[in-house]
Amino acid sequence: MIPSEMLEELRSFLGDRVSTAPADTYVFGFDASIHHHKAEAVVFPESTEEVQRIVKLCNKYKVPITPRGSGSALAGQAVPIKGGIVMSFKRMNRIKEVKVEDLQVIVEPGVINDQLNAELKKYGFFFPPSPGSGKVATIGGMVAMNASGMRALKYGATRDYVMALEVVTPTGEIAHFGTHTIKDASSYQMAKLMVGSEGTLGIITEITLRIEPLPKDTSIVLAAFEDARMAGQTISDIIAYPLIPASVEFMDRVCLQSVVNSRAVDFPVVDAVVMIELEGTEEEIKEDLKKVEQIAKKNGAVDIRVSSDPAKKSEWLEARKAVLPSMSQYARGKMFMVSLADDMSLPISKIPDAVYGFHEIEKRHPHVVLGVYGHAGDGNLHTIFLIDPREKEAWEDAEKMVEEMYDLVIELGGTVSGEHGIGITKAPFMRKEKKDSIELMKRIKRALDPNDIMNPGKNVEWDDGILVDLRYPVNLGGEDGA
Amino acid sequence: MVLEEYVDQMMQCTSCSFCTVTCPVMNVLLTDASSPRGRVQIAYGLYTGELELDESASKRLYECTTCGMCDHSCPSGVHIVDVIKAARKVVYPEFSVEKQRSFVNNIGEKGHTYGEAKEPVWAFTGHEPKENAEIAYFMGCKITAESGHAQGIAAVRILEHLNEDFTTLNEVCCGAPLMYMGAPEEKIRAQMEKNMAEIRKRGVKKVIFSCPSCYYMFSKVYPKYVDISDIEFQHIVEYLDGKLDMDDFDSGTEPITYHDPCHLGRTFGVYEEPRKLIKLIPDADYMEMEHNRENSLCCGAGGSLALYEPSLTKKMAERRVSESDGRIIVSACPNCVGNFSKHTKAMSIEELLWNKMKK
Repeated sequence: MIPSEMLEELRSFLGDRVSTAPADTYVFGFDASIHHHKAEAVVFPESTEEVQRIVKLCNKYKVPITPRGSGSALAGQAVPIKGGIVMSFKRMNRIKEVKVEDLQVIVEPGVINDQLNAELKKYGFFFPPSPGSGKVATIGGMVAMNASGMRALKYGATRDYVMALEVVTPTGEIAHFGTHTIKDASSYQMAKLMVGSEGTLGIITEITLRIEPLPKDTSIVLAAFEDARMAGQTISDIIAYPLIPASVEFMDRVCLQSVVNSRAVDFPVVDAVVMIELEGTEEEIKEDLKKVEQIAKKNGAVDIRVSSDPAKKSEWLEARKAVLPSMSQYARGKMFMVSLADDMSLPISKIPDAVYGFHEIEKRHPHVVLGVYGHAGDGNLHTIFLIDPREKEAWEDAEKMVEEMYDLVIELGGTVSGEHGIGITKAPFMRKEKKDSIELMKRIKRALDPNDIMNPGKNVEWDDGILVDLRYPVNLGGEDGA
Repeated sequence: MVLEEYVDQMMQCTSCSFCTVTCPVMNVLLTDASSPRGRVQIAYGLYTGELELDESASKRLYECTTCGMCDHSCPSGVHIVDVIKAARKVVYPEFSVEKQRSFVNNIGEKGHTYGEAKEPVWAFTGHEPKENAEIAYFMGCKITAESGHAQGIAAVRILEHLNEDFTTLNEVCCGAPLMYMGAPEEKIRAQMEKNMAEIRKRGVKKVIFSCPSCYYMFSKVYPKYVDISDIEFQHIVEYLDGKLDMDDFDSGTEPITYHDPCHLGRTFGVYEEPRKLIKLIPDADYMEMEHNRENSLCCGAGGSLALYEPSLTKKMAERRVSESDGRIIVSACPNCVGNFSKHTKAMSIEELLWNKMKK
């Protein structure tokens, strides 16, 4: 419960940029996960100094803070599960400085990925991480999740581009981590510690990112297979050739059908499609294309399409990025997409085993339809669960299935999240995976956040199951009816 | 509860937020609570009972122009505007504002948004209604009430100039404002019945419109209640497309640009017809705004927002006007033209064409 004197003080410097209106606090209790918990207040700071004043107040009154970019997190990271304040970064959305000569850009956390790239394009540069949610994902959110997306195979993840961060610590200090230099061996890599911390270790208020020159040219190959394992094999063979494309994407039949239902795109609806993005000079691309076609044919591709036409490439890439939200189009009105086991990363060579294994697990769970897609070239898969979220049995079935899938991921040498993070919904499986380091991580959290105000109860701190505070109209018979 | 019909739509929302970043209201107010996703979540909360109906819920539901950018952006295929309109039916009885209720009363009691017609709606055009014409021209309240009639006069003059066999109508409000506000359905139905009786009386097989909202009502809403499958509906720019050529026009214009009205564009996909008509004017000084066609930004006046929160309408109009670079904004919607005229020079496409036509 936020004390009234604290609310008064917030209003004294934020004015109408603090809201306790029931509709507002209800809306800010959602993200794109399965969870919902109402906030007690929402604040909209416009500067680092305002963030600092808010954090100091929260620390004084021991009120939880959940930072929020666009609220598109899939595992509950932006849900104020312990109540308190949600801090929206919609008003801290300026690109502060583009310094191409130093290969860097300085931004506020609310800047959106695609908007940043539209600006950088004017200079012939780009920020390579390219999440499917790039139209909406904020840079602050991407840093907090260590997001990456389609080009991680060649370019790496957000972590690899974070040069420096300005952070308001949980106790209200303003700290500058990292440097504005390409190289940095000056003590602990604190900026990297903040990457992927999901708002549990402090609030990021300014980000300096490394940028790259735009590639000269790109082409995209679509290779269609009637056997998903052979699609997986094609990916491994391309990498082993050796050939490192900008991106290698995988979509199974359920995903292809959903995206075809959702928009005008000429994807073939087959067992699996591999989409390969090649870049370089015209000659380099020509050579690589030959190799890719050869490998795909050898693995039984039933259809191979190539395009260097900007409109067609954009159509394919946008369709691929729309897979996740399109999933509810697969069985309209009967089954709905819920965010469970949304993300996992594997050694690249284990992709065929994982895809096969997931679908074998699916056969044992009749209430779930599973879609598998992802950035398979870098070993990162996503799965989408389609269930009827009004049915208790569907949730019980899905819960068991998630556990079996993550057991398989761990058995294959993978990790429970490649880019979407842990939040609430993946926390139990992360604990299983990181048995010998979880206590150490908790000690770091306690050292930086002694009053446990920063996005409390998430990630390393979550010690409950996954079906809690559900946003769907179902009674699972638990204490809170969830 | 009316929202029950939309539960599947609400559950289909994956909360991806794609609609949020494109919403012109959200981009002014900068809060997720006033985004399409937020409005769907509020509707969902009202349906489940987790959220109590109060002033804060109604405010967020009415802070929307129903421009349809969200429907256009939604990869999950949620009919967001339909959900919002349904939720407004829940909100209207207790939380509509006085200005909205006065509009509704005017329409119910006197037929029009502006109250009682002082003279027949067609009077200022001098073109009397007649029976058994080929087509009817439906003027719409906005033109008869607030735009100095210029758009209606120009439309009628163009049709006369082309020797079209057409009639004006003793029409009443199409009912669009009632629907946008969430007013009781029987009031909308009463408007439909009056208008359809008049159209039947004239014996026409086609009705053309200057107002995209009227066009929307007749094409998409009326058929749910009355059988009008034998009558064709068109916006005037669709009707005129192909009937004029460059020889009909004097050359040159002041610097102009075209604003795509939300319904005409995103609902009906009418993007090229108005541009083709404008470009018939030889040497037209024409340039597109940054957001055009399906990405066009709402003028801010739609969905009854101008009644509910005029200051937000003003901010949205200013944002859109800033893209026009000082050019005259030409549009095919009297609501957009009326709204822009408060901030910059704007005119209807009918006026532009009629002014430039060789007489």
